[in-house]
Amino acid sequence: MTTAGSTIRNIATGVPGLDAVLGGGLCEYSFNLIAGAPGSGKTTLAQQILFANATAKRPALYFTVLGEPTVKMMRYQQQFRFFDTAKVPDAIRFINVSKEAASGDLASVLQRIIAEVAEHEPAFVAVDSFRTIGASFAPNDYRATLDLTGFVQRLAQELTTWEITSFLLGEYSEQEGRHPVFTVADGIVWLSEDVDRNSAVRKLRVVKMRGRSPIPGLHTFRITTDGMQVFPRIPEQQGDRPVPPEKRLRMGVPGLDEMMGGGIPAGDVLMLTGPAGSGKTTFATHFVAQGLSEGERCVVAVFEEFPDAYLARAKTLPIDFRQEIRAGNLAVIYLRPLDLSVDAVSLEKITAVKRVAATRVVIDSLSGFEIALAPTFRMDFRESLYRLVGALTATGVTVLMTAEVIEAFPDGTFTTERVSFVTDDILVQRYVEIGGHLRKVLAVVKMRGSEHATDFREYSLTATGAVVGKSLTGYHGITTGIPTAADPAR
Amino acid sequence: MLGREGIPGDGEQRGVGDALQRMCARMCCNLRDTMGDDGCTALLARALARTEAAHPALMSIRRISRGTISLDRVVDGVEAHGVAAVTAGIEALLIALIEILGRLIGEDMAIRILELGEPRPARSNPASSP
Repeated sequence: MTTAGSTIRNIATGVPGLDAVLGGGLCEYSFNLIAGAPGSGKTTLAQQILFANATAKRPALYFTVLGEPTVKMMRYQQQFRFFDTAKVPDAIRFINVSKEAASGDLASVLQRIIAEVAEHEPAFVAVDSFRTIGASFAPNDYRATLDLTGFVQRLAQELTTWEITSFLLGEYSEQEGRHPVFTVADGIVWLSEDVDRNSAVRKLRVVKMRGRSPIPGLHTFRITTDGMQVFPRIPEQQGDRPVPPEKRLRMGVPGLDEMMGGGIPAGDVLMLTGPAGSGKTTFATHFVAQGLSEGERCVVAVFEEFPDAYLARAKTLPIDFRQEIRAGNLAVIYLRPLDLSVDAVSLEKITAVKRVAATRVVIDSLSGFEIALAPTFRMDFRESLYRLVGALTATGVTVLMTAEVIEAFPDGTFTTERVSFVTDDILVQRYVEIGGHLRKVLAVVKMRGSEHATDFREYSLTATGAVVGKSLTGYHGITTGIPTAADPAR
Repeated sequence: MLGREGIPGDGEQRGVGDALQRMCARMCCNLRDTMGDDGCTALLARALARTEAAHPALMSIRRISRGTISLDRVVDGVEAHGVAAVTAGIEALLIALIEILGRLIGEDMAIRILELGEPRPARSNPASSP
């Protein structure tokens, strides 16, 4: 005899990024708890899921309990684009059960919910806020615990029997793990907000999701007029890095490719470091222009200037960047807000890479990227950068990152963290003073598994871009910034 | 809404009163279901405050008990003031309610909430839906 197990169908949440975090979506007929402090986004999350899924034939009942007046909740929630007022009440019906909840009689609350469920046969049910039902719950009160446990179990039983996917919303703290609803719930999603200095970062954690393998850890999310968007935490291990083709990507700066053995090996991550004004952005712009001229597609993430300023700067090069953007060959993404999470940045970049099918990516600059992150993420900048680079290289692109240094040779130190470990190649620019003149020199410090020039070369920034000149031979102590001529007669 | 209650074509006073009563009961029930007792009472109180002066018949159709407003004396009101006065009062009350609620949540949704009770389509079999 063979038996067939039941297949649990997925319910897409309609919340960008959340299905990936949940391990594919919600389980149909699951009994879920959305927990978090007031203002953490519980109502928004529940309603976004309901508006994405409920129809007149598969309606949702939204039970409101003591708390925010229904009329105010409806007024504010309809500011979100997902709140389709035409769906009320045929697809989504708001039902106020404050009277029953206020009586403190759990049986009457249950009776009312079940009566409404029997009348409307919904596919989805939300109870907002469940916390106010059995609000006087005290873990040491055996009788009260038994009553509430019985209520929660019966509610879960009834809703599952009616083939309903349900959401209980509540202002619980993580210390309340003994509350009966935590035991009975199939899924628990925790919403929180980290406040650090002037920035606030919203985070989501899937504590439990029976029947699914959610991505562990804290995931950042945002709430905008579009509703909630979750940025799944990028697993540190991205899987095998794709084997890049045996080719070099030319930088497009005359003289530089020859120093690098023909250019950057495809799929590498190159860090270009230098002090302010040394021409890092100019070199990075050459890299983009060269790629475009060879028919490649590029993504540039700018953190330190507006896209218009960046594009104006690129006008000195023979490639028309604006035309390339219009043609879909180039994406310039501007990421300057000061409360970004690394996951939000990564998602923006990877989305852009996929959209334009890019092979070259520029991050200009790491210093700006660090500042754009919320303070809580700056503390883990090395980890953040590692995850970002891992996510990008997993797509097979070649990455050029710029970083501003002050006095740190030869390893590209900036801020307080050493980040060169994430790079395959390092190019260093610096100023030297020779004969009372400030001159610019550069050197290739590191090219993993590849021959490269080891001498310092002078370069200049001209009206048409950067040009690498001759080797700076005949000097000692270039790395000090004040070299001396090997031949004192010079 | 009045049409759905089957108002007698001959305008017979008792029949009209019953139909108006059913309509008011349904409207209040719908409002109470969505907004709760407190929300329903607050909205009705404000709508009545705006309309009672111009439509004194409304005073005889509403009842206030334990802080809750009910519109359960419509038949008595019709007997005391006549069909025309009560109908005009209820019409003005509905307009006021829609205006008040409409400013808060939008007129379309306000109308749909007050008109709950239309037959609903049967629920599809979840197993066969995409």
